[in-house]
Amino acid sequence: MPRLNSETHIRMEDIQKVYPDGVKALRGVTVDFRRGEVHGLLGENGAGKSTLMRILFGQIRQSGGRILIDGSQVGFNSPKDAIAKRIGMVFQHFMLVPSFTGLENIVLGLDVKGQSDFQNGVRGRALDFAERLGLKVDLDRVIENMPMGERQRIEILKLLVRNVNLLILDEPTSALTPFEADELLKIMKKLRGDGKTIVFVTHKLKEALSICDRITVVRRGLRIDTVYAKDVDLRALAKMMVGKEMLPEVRKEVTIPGKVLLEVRALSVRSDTGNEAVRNVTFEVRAGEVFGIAGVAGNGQKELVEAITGLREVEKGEVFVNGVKTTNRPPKDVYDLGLAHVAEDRFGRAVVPTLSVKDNLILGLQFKDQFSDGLLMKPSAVEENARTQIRDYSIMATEDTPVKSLSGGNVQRVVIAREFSKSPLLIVASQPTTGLDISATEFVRNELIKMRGKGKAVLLVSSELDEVLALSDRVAVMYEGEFMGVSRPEELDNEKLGLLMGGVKVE
Amino acid sequence: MSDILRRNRGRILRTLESAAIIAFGFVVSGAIMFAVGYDPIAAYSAMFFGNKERGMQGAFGGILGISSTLREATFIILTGLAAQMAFSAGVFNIGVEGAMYVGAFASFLVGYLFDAPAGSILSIVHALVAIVAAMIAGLAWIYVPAFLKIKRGANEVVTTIMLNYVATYLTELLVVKFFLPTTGVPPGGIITPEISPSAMIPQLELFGAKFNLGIIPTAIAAVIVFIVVKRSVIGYSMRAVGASPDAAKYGGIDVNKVILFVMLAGGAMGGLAGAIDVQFTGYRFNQAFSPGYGSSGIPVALIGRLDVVGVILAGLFMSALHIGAQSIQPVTGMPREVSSLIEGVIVFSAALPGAIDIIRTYLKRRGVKNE
Repeated sequence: MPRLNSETHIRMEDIQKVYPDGVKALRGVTVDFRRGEVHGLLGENGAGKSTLMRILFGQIRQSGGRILIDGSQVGFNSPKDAIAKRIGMVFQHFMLVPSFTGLENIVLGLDVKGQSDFQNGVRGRALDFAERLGLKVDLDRVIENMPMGERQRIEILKLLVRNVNLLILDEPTSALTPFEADELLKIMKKLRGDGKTIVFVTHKLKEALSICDRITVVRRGLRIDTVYAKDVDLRALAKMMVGKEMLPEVRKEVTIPGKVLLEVRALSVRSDTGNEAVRNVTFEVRAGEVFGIAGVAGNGQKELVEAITGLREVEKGEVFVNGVKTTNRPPKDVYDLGLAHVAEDRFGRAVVPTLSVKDNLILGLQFKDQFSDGLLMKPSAVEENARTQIRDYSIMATEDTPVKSLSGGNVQRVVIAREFSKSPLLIVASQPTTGLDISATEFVRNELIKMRGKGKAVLLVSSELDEVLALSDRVAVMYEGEFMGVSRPEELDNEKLGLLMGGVKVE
Repeated sequence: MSDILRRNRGRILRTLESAAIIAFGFVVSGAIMFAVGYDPIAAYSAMFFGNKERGMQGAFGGILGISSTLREATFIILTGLAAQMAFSAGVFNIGVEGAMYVGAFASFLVGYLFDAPAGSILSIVHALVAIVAAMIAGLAWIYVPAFLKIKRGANEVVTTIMLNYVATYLTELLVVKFFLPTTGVPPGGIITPEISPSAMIPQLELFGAKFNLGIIPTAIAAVIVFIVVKRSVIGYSMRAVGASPDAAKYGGIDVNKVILFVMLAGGAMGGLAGAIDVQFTGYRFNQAFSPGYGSSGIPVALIGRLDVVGVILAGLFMSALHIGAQSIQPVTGMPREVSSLIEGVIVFSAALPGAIDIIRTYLKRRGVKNE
């Protein structure tokens, strides 16, 4: 039972942040974190929640406003200062040395004077915390061999050993399996019971409601409201977060699946580390159909997509695009057969960040007659194409803006505009809405459905369950490199999906 | 007007940044000179404008100064363009010096072994064949480290530096073994006999100074590089590979082909620089012809911020510094070591912004790969 305490632990007052490029990320946010509460910080991507927390953790400095701890003002120049004031943060992407053990990671950065004695001292304290709070960890295991949940527990221990009493958890459940996420919520309750203040940064409504005492909703750099979780429901929170009702349903036209445009036969692929990431996967995608692959990220989806699109070597098995064997053919050959690829790693792969919007809008099309004569580019065609796409896809940028200065949603518009302009037969879209705000998400989903309506084949890989269920005609769940089965979305509900994603077969 | 400003905002900012830091380099160097007891104003004036009483012309203070500055600029603009192409695709090709030596020797061989009647079409063909031979030799030389990088992942920095030594000593060995016996050891050092007159490109006499016509092939090379980088499909591919090899691969670009292209093009330009020394300047192969033209290409590319126009300006600037520094000692009595130090400080600071850009991109690329 939440123990409601009204003592203010940390107050952030009228915090403003203007980035050097003039973007106003925070426009005067005031929020109190009370001692011993789980405080949800809810907002869409780009709402300003990460900026606010990075200011509290001393990573960046606010442009205006002040931070008070127990009533006295503090200023942080670095995370070190924040930790000295007993504030710690666990990032979405863990900051651990993969080749070190859990204990070595915990010790890293502490003042080591007595080496082994010291390590043992830390070990004792870490184990103490672990036991009291029910954190299951093996301190002597190397990080890269740990599942995500355990890595996260190491991160939490790292902070506890540093005597942190306010923990910021940034989207902590995003990398976890449903089971691990449940575990984490239990740990958070125990931390609260131990008197720690927790700031739970999230965009997942259900989780926020299930664990938080109070929830602060931010939108476009402003605090919308701070509410007691017991006083609100999902709908009300969603409304505060997005400023409009809920996501409209995706309308699917009735299509009759046609020709097989992608066929994957007994495919096995290795990951970067040499593990067998995809094992003996077979499926086909037909024209006018969306084939969805659900699953927690990291179960071989990435490797599967890369193998299909020519970016990764196929170990065993075959791939056919529109009837032509493309196993281990370079990307260009696969594109020539009508494949378009909305890549998962948006900034690392789907665009060249330093190049302009217009140059990125022709990535993969530079060889086409429309944009070059094989030797020289046609600058006016490139410009013209950029102007058309910027207009048709409402990209908020000029042709010459480098893509690196665009927001995630805008970058995805660039990617979608380019891939769809290839007039493909087959679209492979991998995590196409990750990190996008609601309107951009809606846009991407509608575009995919439009392509389906035009008789294209769509392979959709996503860890957003609602998305896979809403868009797909058939759904496969991937777990440890294998398909747990292929079903129609109406045969699945969240519970069944959750079980499949956790590796439990259901009939 | 404001539209032009906006579109070129990045370029204008880069230019201002470079100008500011070059000025800073001059100030720091001035402080050093002042600290060791020399008048920096007099030294800079001697550097750029010479001193009539002492008979020194500096970099621009007379026709001889100007011709020397232009001659040296020719070489380092070429090697700078070679480095620029490599850098823009994320490749560190340090082997232009070696390609230049091999190219110079090839140009000499073709020039020496064949002859054609003066003034005939054949003599033009002879000269052109020698130039092309030099470029092919430079290209072939660089093919070795390029091949090792692509097929075996050998780091091109290490292999190209090692091959530079191989090239300089190999050509020295060839001269000593086969040509010194015919020339004896002349006072000029390890040099071959002259090439046939038909392969020689005469120097232009203007106001009593000799102007090297190497500026013509250099200008042609600059125009070609400009078109390749800015307008061609391969130039587009180079920029993509340089910024993000993963994204380039995703964009259907054959990353290895692009790496091969920039390295071979650099080798060809190095070879051309070698031919310019043999056929346009010295008319023989001189083992000591390069005071490090190949390695100067790297700071030139960096000072020029990987831009063709920038590289041309940077080449002139570095050449002026180098030629000008030679006037400082006779005019002010400052030791040669100090003027070299000054030159180094200015070049270092001028190359800094470009170097930081490169390091930043490089780290970013590694970051992407490690994720």
